[in-house]
Amino acid sequence: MEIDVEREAERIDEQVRRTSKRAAEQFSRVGSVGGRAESGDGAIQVEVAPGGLLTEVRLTHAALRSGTDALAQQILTLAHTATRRAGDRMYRALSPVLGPEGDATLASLGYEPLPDDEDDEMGSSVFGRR
Amino acid sequence: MIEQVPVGGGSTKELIEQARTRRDALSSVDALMAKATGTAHDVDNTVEVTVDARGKLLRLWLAPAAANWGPERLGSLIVEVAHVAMQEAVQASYNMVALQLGEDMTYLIERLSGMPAPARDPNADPGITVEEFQRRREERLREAERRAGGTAQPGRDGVTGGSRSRADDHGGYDDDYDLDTFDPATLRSDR
Repeated sequence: MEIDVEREAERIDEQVRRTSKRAAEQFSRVGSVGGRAESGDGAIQVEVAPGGLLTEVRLTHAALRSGTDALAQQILTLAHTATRRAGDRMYRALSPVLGPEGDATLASLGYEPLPDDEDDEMGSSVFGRR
Repeated sequence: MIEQVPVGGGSTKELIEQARTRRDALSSVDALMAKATGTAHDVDNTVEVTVDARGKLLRLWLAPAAANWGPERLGSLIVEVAHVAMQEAVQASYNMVALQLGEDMTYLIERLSGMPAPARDPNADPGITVEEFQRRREERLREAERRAGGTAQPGRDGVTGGSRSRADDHGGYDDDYDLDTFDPATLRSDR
């Protein structure tokens, strides 16, 4: 399969440029599209980029007290919560730009709206354990 | 819209066929990227992180000694290790994509995703070039010849000129096992 990589890339680039311009406008309205979650006692704070990559893990001395295994498990759970929140924000930012056909693409990237009953306080009750 | 003029005189049927193949190939990329994972740990083996190619945390392991870093350092260490793990995952996914779609298509996807394969990073450790490998091999052979000639050897001093790269350290060249210097004539004849 022979492909003129440069030309192909330029063609798609142009499409992407137009869409991303609109997306950028959306993002500037929405603000940050990362996701955050913290434990009920505030000892562990986790921030992720869209997709779920950890961008910040803030711990206090209290977080270390329950042992490293418990800490790792808590960070993992908080990271997942934060990832879903980031996905929710990405969905809300991009869905109006891409239209209905874009939803499947967004879902395949893990950007899905959170159900209404999972609001921003979702983490608190679950991670209140000290 | 930008009009594409077919180059090379392919028939419309062929072009449609090509486009289909590419579309199918591209749609498999998502699945491949979802499957790829990368794992990394810190030098002291206190933190180990596994993520997928999008960076999603899949596994986090902390050694009991990880607590010794203190809360601040441990937090940032986990983030650092996660970033390295993602690089691994991205490379792993491109390796899978390249196996399935070929190098051209993989390069195209890298361009479009704005996420070049870490292996293409010009600042990354380039490992060892063919020329460098040959140079070192010749040096080893000369060394072996001198040794065979009965000259006293001052260890491995002076074997490498300049700085030793990691590739050399990992090479683990042990003269006893160096097949390049193996001479079949040293075997006892069975006749």
